[in-house]
Order: sequence, then C-alpha cells, then structure tokens
Amino acid sequence: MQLHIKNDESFRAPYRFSNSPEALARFPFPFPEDSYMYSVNLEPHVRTGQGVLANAFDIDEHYIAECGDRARALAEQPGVHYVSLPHMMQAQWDVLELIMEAYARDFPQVFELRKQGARWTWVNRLLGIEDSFTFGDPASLPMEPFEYISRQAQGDWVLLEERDQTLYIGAGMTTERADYSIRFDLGMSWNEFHGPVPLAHELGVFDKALKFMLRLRSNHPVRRLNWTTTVFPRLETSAETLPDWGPNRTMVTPENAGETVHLRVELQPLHRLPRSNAIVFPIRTYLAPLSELVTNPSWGRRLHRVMSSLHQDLIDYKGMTRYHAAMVQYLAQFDGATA
Amino acid sequence: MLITGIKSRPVYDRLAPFPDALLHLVVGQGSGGSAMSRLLAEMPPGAEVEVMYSTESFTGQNHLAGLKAAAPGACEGFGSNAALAEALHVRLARAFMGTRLYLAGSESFIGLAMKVARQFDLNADEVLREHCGSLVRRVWCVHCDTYSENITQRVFSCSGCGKPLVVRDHYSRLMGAFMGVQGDAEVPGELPEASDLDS
Amino acid sequence: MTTDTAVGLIPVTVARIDDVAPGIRVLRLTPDDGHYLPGFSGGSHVTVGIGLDGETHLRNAYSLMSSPYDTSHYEIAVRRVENGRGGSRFIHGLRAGDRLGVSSPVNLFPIQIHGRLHVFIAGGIGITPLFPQIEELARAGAAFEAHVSCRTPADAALAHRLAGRFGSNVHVRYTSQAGRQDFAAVLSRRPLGSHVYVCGPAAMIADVRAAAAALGWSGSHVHDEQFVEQKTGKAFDLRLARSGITLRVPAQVSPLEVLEANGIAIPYLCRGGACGQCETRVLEAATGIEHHDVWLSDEAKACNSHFMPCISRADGGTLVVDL
Repeated sequence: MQLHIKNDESFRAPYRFSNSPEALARFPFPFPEDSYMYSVNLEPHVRTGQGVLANAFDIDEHYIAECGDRARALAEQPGVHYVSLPHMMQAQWDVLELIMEAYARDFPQVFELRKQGARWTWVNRLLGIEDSFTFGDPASLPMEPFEYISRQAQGDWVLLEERDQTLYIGAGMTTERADYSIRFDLGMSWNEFHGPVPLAHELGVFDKALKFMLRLRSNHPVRRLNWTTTVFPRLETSAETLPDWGPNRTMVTPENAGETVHLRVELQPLHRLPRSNAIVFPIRTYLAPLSELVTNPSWGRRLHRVMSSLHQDLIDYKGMTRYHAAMVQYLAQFDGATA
Repeated sequence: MLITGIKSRPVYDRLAPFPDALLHLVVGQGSGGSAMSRLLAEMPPGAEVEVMYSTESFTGQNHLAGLKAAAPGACEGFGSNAALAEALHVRLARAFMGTRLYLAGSESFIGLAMKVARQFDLNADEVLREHCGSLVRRVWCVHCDTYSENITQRVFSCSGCGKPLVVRDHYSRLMGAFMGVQGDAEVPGELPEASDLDS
Repeated sequence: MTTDTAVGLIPVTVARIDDVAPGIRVLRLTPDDGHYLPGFSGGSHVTVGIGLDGETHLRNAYSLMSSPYDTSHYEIAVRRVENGRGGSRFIHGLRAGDRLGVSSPVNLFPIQIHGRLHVFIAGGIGITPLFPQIEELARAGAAFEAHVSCRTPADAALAHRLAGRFGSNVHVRYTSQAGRQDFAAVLSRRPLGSHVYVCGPAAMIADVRAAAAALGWSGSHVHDEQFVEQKTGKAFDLRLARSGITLRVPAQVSPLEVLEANGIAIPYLCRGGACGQCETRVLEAATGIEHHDVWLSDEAKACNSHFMPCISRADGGTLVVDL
C-alpha cells in the first residue's frame, strides 16, 4: 500500500486533523445494524482486502502525529501512561518481536528488521530511527523493550497475563485511552477491568469472550471492534486529564456537531505471545468527525439510527450524556426516514 | 457476605475452616475479631491454629481478649495494621504448603493483608476474606495520586489536591482502593448530588 | 511418506532422528528455507499430522523438548506404542528427510511464574516438557527441582540429558532398582507458593495428586499434563445436521480428526477430553456414545446431550450432531 504520511497534524488544541479521502474510505465503520448493543464480536484476524484489515497491525497517514502525541503525553506526565509489572519482561520481548516482525514484513518500504542470531538491527524510516540491540538483553536498548517499540507503534497496547483461568493486566502503553487510568487498572482481572461497562456482564458477553481469549494460540490472532465518541480530535482522554478535556463536552451544538463530535473506533487484533504465553491487546484507534462520515450516505443514515436508539446506560458510560441530543439532532438530516 | 453491584470489588466470603489444611492462620483487625472468634469455634479438634489480631479500628471494636482465650499461646496482638502486615510477611515466609489464610476486617485491612499474601502466590483456594464493620472506602485520586481513607460520601474533597472528587464504583485490588475523579470536570461547580456511599 | 498440511499445519522436514532408548525416538524438525518456527513457552505441545495409507488422518500431540529461545528447529520425543492406532509406529518408521506437518504450539502446562519453588515429577516420556520449562526457570534464576523416574538405566537417556544440563537439582530414579518414588517425601514441608508439575502416566498423576492433597497442597498449585492415548473403536457415521453432510469416522480416527480432514475446524485445545473446547451438542445417538473424556458431567454423559469429538465415539451406527 502507498503510505503518504501527513506532516503537520495535532491531536491537541489547536487541533489540526482530517482524513484524506483514502483514509476515510478505509475507515472501520463499526455498525453493521441500525442499533447497537454489546456482543461477543470476536472473529479470526484473517487479513483481508486493502484497508485496515490487510495487515497484522495497521499503519496509516496519521502515524507520525500519533507517535508525536504519545511522546508528548509521556513527557508531560511520566509514570501515568506507561506501566509494567516486573514479571512481564518476557512478554515485553515477545511483543517487541511481534510488532517489529509484523511492521517489517507488511511495510518494508519504511521498516526493516535484520537478525544475526540474537543481535538485531531495527530501522524505522518514518521516525528516523536505527538501533542495534541484543534480543533478550534489556541493557542493550535505551529503555524497556515494550516502551521502546510501543513508542513507534500506532495505537494503545495492553499486555495481559494468563493465570487462574483468567487474564490480568500486566503492562500497558496507553496514551489514547478513553477515560480510564492504566495505573488504576494494573493488576485487575478480566472481569474487574471490564467492571464499569454497563449491561454487557448481564448479557454474558465477558464470560464468553474470556473463554474465547483463553484458547487463543500463537499465529491465530482474533480481532474485534469497539467504539465511542470524543469531542474534538483529541486522542489523550485519560481519567487523569479529565479536567482538561471534560469541558469540551459543553461545546457541542446541533450546528457544530458535525465538526466537533468525532467517532472513535478501536480495532483490537488480539495475539497470543509465544514465550510468555501472555496476550497482547492492541487498541488501534481511528478518528473521524461526523461531518466526514456523513459524506457516505449509508453511514450518515446508520449513525443517526444507532445514536438515536442507543441505550441510556451506554450513552452515560461513553460520556455522551451532555451532547447526545445535539448530536442526534445534527444527524437527523442525514436520515431520510426522519427528514 | 458483602455482594454489591460493583463488579471489580471482591466478592467477600464467610470464614469457614478449610478441610485439608495443615495450618490455619487466622488474621484480622477491629470488628473482624467477631468473625475470627466464630471461625475458631468451628475449627475441628486438633487443628493447628495461629491467630494475629490488630486493634487498629475505625469502629473502635477490640476482640483481643476473647481471641487470646480461644487460642491460648497462639494469639499475637498488634497495635496497628501496618505492624501486623509486617509480621504476617515474616510468618508467611517460613510457612509451608498446606497453610491456609483467613482474613477478617475492613476492606482497607483486607487489601493491605492481600498485598502481603500475593507475594506468596496464595490463590483463592488458600485464602478466605470476610468483610466486617463499616463500609467506608479508601479512595485514590486519579489526578494527584493520593489516597483518602474512610470515605463515606459519594462526593468529597481530595485530601491531597482539594479537588471535589466523585467516587467511582470501580475497585483496584493492587491499590486496595476505589477511584475518585473530579466531579465537576465538565462544568466547574456543577457537581453530582451528595449522597452516602451505601455499599 | 505423506505430508499432512490440512487445516493450518506448518510443513517441516525431519532433519535428524535419534533412537535414544528402547522405544524412544527423538526427532529434530526444521522449517522450510531459512524460516523460523513459531516461538513457544515451556510446556507447550504441537500436534503432528499423520497420514496413514493416504486416507487416515491422525493428529498426535507431543510436547516440545527443544529450546524456546532457538526456534530454528523443534525437538519432540515419541514413545513407540504397539497396540495404538499406528501414529507412533508411523513416526518410528520415518527417515531423515521425510516431511511432516505440525500445528502451531499450544500450552496447557505453563510455568506459574509467581511460584516461589517449582517441583517437577516426571515419569518415562513425560520428561519431555521439562527441558524448556526448566530452561525458562534457570534463565530467570528461579528455584526448581526435578524428580524423574525411569524403569532402568537403559531407559534413562533423556533423564541423564536433563541432569547433565541442569545439575544437581535433577534427581533420577530407577524404579526397577529403587522402587517407586515417595511422593509424600518430595512434597512435604515445601515453602508456601510452591508449585508441582507432574507429567507421566495416569496412575502416577493420580498418586501425586493424592499425596499432595494429604499434605494440604491446594489444587491451584498442582499441575499435570497427560497425553491421552486415542481410543479405537467401531467405525461409525457422523451426520452434521446443520450442513446436512455425513462423514465416515474410521475405527482408529477420532471424530475431531475426521472433521478437520474435511476442512471443518471446530475449537480444540487439549485433544484429550479435558479442556472442554470441542464440546459438541448431540441430536441423536441411536447406538450410544462411548464417553472417554473427563470434561462432561455424569448427567450429560448419561443422556448423551453432548460429546467430546477429540476422544469419544459412537458405538457404530450414526451419530447426529449440531454442526
């Protein structure tokens, strides 16, 4: 695929963000029906097509800006966005290997991995990085392996440890998280970190998904989609900085909802890690303002129907309470049935 | 038994003797003493038992005398939860497989004791935890990384940064605390209604 | 010799064969042209696709014996079983240069990394997973001990290999000389946080579990892996109600293997009737079901509401399932 990376974007005020027509055409629209409820929407991560599902881990035109936003968040709030429990080092090396091999295989024009036994050389032409290190030796890298590679990888990444028939959060690089704290969630089990999600527990979604996850095997990844909304194209919406981005929710009107409200879709290609037997839970986030999405008439119609029929508990949990009505009012004009 | 709708909060147990244990370590604090006494009365004859009890208590309950009577020569008292936790660490470090641990007390105490227990890879089939006493919460402020103890209100002022925090019904086992986030983050001064934390 | 590359198997070449002890053959398997095989964690196994007579498709599970840190090759050890289905005999008939297909590794017997001491008890061919498991522990500087039983010194080549690599914490016992292992002695007065890993015949596993229970070891600290030998029986027809097709299940092939050979992938992990993944709903079982698993409840087995296609079979006739 052709990679035309944008040069001058910003995910913080003053925002500079938009999707090219190519990026918009490949946007992973998450609604297969006119209404939405949680389900066990896991499927084998079989690579298909030319878009976001064509590769193990997707890269797009926002890569440089996203890595820059990550670096900024890590510098501004050390210890808040990247955490790792001591026993996760084997998993860290596993995920470094997984991402490096995938990127080098799928995007050879910009990533390169050369191996001589345990001596590896990694080249990242997009960020101007070339480093040689010894696989398995933390002292040979400028920082921990998981931090090293996730600073160069688009999307958030969480490492889950398998123990006692469930999965525990053991490490995370999460500069794009939607209103949670990775320090707080560290060490939580599968049901615990999904605790706040409304309704899904009663539907048995998490129990079934966990069973599915526990039988994940190397080389047979699975994927699912999740979604929420954000006001302004701000990626860093952690619980810690809620006072910074919370007020944005008061700025949405029916007139400006197209530009201000962004759909935020998470593609999660889950992989079993070979040596640690851990699981990597990537959260690859795609943003698009509603105004871009409604240029596709069927998406516009569907967005109106999904949002107007959304269960109140989901509206509240996804943080839309204050601007939900304005958003639905804006979307109504794109739904022939109600115009 | 304390079961709430909060899915990340532990489901607490009712203490009862494990049938296959070689050694029963009964550890608690404050109002947990009543559950400990009840448990000791249910132990099978000849059971090997050791008791550790902290008199630090929000509700002021003190069961030390009764526990010493129930486990003569095998009951040690501590003036603070921290002192007990240290001693528990020392005891577990020389314990053998076949040991079972019973914890009784406030949620904060149980969280503290579980931090010690986790270092010895104790699993659910080796530890029972009975919640006793008041429902006060330990709350962690996500903004300033400070813990506030004994919180009883849904909205309160952070002891670290002074922000008005809303207590979310989400519990971290590693921290042994609930999360507090700024309650008026969207519109300054617009806070949720005050209410008691009733669970 | 056939290569079985059905349903996602990785093609490998038998690079080397070592008959290390009577009936025990070690195979070294290498991937095609300079590729690396998938990494794995100690305790993992792979299933080897075995085509007999060009028709019968078996899948036998073997623990990986090689290093997780060098996946230029895999190593497995196979014990020759005389009156089984023919899978091990097939393997014992292979030559260097022959081709096989292996699945990607799965681990149902992983190291518990939070453990404070790791005690291994192995019998016979059950020693194989200990090689990568102990390598992981040794690298991490974790405390371990291995107690390996063999019948006679002539059977102990692998045990000596393990002892040679990992030193005095590996104890080898010849049961024909010294009698059976005293499991209570091995498990007594172990530090809190210890784990015991047992790999060997079913009777040994049962004895270790009993000894552990008598010493108050909690179940979550006792781990075992057992390779269940496939049961042979009568041939029968497996009718898939939803797709409307009927498959013939030969006498020595499991229903799961037949489904896979026909491109129908159902979930599985252990292939030995223990993990529950392949549980399948039964609609009609006119001739009854031979349940060989340990997963289903007694009620489910009595009323034949479900069966485990990895290891159970119908007693001839036709079995109709919800697939």
